[in-house]
This record gives sequence, structure tokens and C-alpha cells, in this order.
Amino acid sequence: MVAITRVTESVQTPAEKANDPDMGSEIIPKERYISKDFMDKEWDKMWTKIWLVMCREDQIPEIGDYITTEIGKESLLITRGDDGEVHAMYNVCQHRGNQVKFDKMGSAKTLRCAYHMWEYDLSGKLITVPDEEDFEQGCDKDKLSLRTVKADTWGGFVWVSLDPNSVPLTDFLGMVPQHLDPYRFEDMAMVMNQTVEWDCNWKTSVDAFNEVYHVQSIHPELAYSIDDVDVQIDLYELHNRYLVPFQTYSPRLGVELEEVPEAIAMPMQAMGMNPEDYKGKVADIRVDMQKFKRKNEKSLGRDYSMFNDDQLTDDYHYNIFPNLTLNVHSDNMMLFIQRPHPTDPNKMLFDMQMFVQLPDGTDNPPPADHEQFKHGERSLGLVLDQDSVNLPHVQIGLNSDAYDGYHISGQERRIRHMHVGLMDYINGKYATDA
Amino acid sequence: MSDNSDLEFVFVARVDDVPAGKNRCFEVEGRGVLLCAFHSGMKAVENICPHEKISLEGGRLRGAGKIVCPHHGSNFDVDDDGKALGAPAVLPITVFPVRVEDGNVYVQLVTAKRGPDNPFAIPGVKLNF
Repeated sequence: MVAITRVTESVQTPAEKANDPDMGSEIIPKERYISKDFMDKEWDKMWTKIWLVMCREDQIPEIGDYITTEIGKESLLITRGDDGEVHAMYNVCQHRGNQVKFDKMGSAKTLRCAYHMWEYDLSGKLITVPDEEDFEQGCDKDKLSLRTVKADTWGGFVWVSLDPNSVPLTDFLGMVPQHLDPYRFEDMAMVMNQTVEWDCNWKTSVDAFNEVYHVQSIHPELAYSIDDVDVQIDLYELHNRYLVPFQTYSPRLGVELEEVPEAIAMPMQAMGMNPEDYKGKVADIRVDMQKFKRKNEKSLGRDYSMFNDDQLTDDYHYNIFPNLTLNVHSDNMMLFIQRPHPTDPNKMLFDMQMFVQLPDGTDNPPPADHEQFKHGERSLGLVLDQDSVNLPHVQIGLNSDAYDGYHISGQERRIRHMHVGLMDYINGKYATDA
Repeated sequence: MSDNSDLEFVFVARVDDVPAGKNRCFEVEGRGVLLCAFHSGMKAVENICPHEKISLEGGRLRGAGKIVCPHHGSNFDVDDDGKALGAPAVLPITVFPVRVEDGNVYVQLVTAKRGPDNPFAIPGVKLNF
């Protein structure tokens, strides 16, 4: 039978199991997923208080580059200012309320509203108002500048907080940089950037990736490349993770595999290992692949010195509170950003972004263009199609009078943990205003 | 599938071998051919549920062309090229074109549909390892 060994000492990313807090086993009320009132509370008490990923720094590399993006009902404009720094502001002209920019990404010397050509500099400061003398009340350039929001960067991402009094980004991230800096997200290339409109609450989606309980039923294929049983779950203050062994197989199969499954053979071949050597020894592959990558890191164009051995094969899977899901691997990272709909708790935006760490000395291509479409209009790949197929139906069930809320297992405790953080925000534990 | 259109029809069984409203699997050239005696006519699919890659034989036939997997309840529309109608399966089943002559059932053994070798593969994205 396949037996997983885990590293006990790590380099930087901790490998040890975190203590499990007692979170009880109460039902998680369905109202949090369907109620407009609760959705409004989330907006007032959480979304406008936390730090949010908005874009990549390399999506606005040059002075004047900008992107627009939305969080809930707000449209934000992120620019590279004349000072070379990232600036973030509400994308709303202070004259008649028009969105200053409608396009997803562009470049400009100044930000001019397309309606009456009010002109702002790249940091949002109002510069010129046509026929300014016609405003008998005057045009106070300070008061009528674009409303800015706090921006900072980590991991190559631009983060914003709508709360002027928010804690610094590093405080919000807590243990995250210690855990994830070794992956050098800032050096990765964004090779996919899609937004899918899903008919479910944003949490319904976050939950789908916060447990492996569903793997045996929804993803039977994955029994041949991952171990969905020996999963270490670590709950920190706000954020959490699980560590899933990859390049192995599930004990749920109940047999020793003789042949190397295709899903394991492919990455082996890509890095120069011979799957034929592992006939009848499939359980050895995971650790041998770790050794192989370590030994051949130079020829692979890699630097694995900041990783422990498990990080060379396994999925270090993080939930950065509340809405970021990261499948983190030594050579790539898949990010899901789960955004609330502006008005409807039964809808959300699912951002799916793929990042790859190219071999050292390789220039990154420009970040992938953004695409947006509705659920089902195209495939997201087998695993994500399987993950997403239930979600609109879960949402319908959550709205039923015949359902009270989540009755969940220990394997699903990351879901409960996310709710602890959510309710702490709702109840004011992290309130910053006096 | 155009590359399959010239395939010859091969004999599978007699119509009488499959009771009305039922299905039964026959092995033909190494493939499991599940003949489904719908009231709308004889239809044939590969005897593999794409969810857990196990037999569909004995699965309930519903309506004009729906077959329900007897193991985990995935539902497929044989008349819509085997499309999965409900989870847990998301991939389609393989449908064999059928011809019935003189009480004999013949099918074209078209190429089996299959999922990606790497279930994590994403359309349009090339991953390193």
C-alpha cells in the first residue's frame, strides 16, 4: 500500500502541522449564502475592510498603464503613476459620476473622463476642468480629485484596501509571506486570466476548493495522481491551507498500482525521468521525483534551494482570507479569486489565473489578456468542470425551505475556519474605525 | 465524427437478444457494446461510464434516449451524442451509430471518447511539470 512520507524539517515554508482550534460542529447557516442583508453586512464589515488582490504589477509595467477592475459594486482604476509607483482609486469622475475609464486595460498620459474631459493625473489628482470659470461654486482641485484607495504590493500582485484605516498589508497577510515567498510569485508569468460568471455565492465557490472530501466522488481520475487521504490541514488566524501529496495515488484505490498512471508519467517525462523504471514501484515516484528535481535543478533551470522536498511535488493549497484560493507548486501556481456580485448573493465572479515559473534566464511573455464568459460556455479543463458542475445546484438548494445549512465533516474544517474569520469581521473583531 | 463515417457496420447481436426497455453488453472486437432497446429504437453506447470507468450495463433507460448509470446515477443523453446531463459525470459517453437489418443489429465501432491524460490540463495552457 502506498505510504506517504512527509518532511519534518523545512527551509522557510513551515511543514509542521498547526494546532487545530476548537470551532465546534454547529450547522453553518444557509442565510450567509443567500441573504441580501448578510451580503450587505459582508460589504460593510469585510470587503471594505480587508486587502484585496486587484491585478498583477506586470499588467501595468510602464508609466501611464492602467487597468480597471471591480469588487462588488465598486469599479477601481489601478495606474502606474508618473512616480513609477502603483496608484489605486475609485473609477468615478467627480463631475457627473461617469467611469473615468471603461476599458479593462489601457495606457494614458493623464486620465481624462470621456464625458466632459475632466482631466486627472495618474495619481488621480484633478488637473483641468473645461470652462472652469463657469462653475460659480468653483472647482476645488483637492476635493474634486479622484478618491484614492490604499494600494500595496506583494508577490507581484497589486493589493488594495478600501479602508483608509486598514492595517498594513503585511499585517493582514500574517504568515503568508513566510510560507509563500519561496515560490517567487513575482517572477512567475501569468499565462491565463479568465473570469467566469457563476450562479452561486462567492463562498459556495471558496468552499468547493477548501475540502478534498469531494475528490473521491467528483474526481475519480485524481486517485491516480494524488493522495486525497493523507492531507494535512493547517488553520492559522485568518488564512488556512492543506498539503496534498501529488505524484502518487490514493489509498482509496485499495490496491498497489503496477503501471505508472499517465497523469504521473507525463510530468516525469517532461523533466527527464523514465516512467518505465517505475513499473511496480509507483509508490516510490513521489520521493524519487523530489530527489530528481533537487539533483537536476541546474539543468532544469531552477533554484529549489528555498523549498523542502515535499514542495517539489505536492500541492501547497492556501486560502488567503477570504476569497483567494491558491494551488501552489514549485513551478506553477493556479489562483482563483472569488468575487461577490454587485447586488445578488446568488451570483459571483470566478477569476481563474494561471502562473508558471519559467526556467531561469527565460523572459516572461506579457501577462495573458483577460477574457470573461458565463459558466458552461467553455471548458475550464476536466477537474474544474467537475468542481463547478454542482455549484449552481448547491446554490438552488441553499435557497430551499427544506435546508438549514452546512452539516460538515472534519475533512471540511477549512470551510468552518473561513466562516470563523468571516463572522469575526462581521462582529467587529477587526474593526479599525474609532 | 468524420474520420469514423466510413467505418463498416459490424454485427453485434439479434434484436431479440435484448428485451424491450433493457440493455445488454456484447463484446465486439474487444469493445464492450451496450445495446439499449429503447422504445424509440435500438441504440448503442460504449459500456463505460466516464465517471468511474465502470460498466453501464443494467442502467435504467429513460425517455427516448437517456441512460442512467447503475452505480452513481450519472445520466446521459444517447440522442445528444452521449452528453452528460447530471453530475457526477461531466464527460460524455461514446455513442455507436446503429443499423438494424433483418433483426440483426450492427454498429460502427467509432473511436472512444476519452478524457484528458492529465485531468488537471486546462485548455490553452501549457504547463511545465
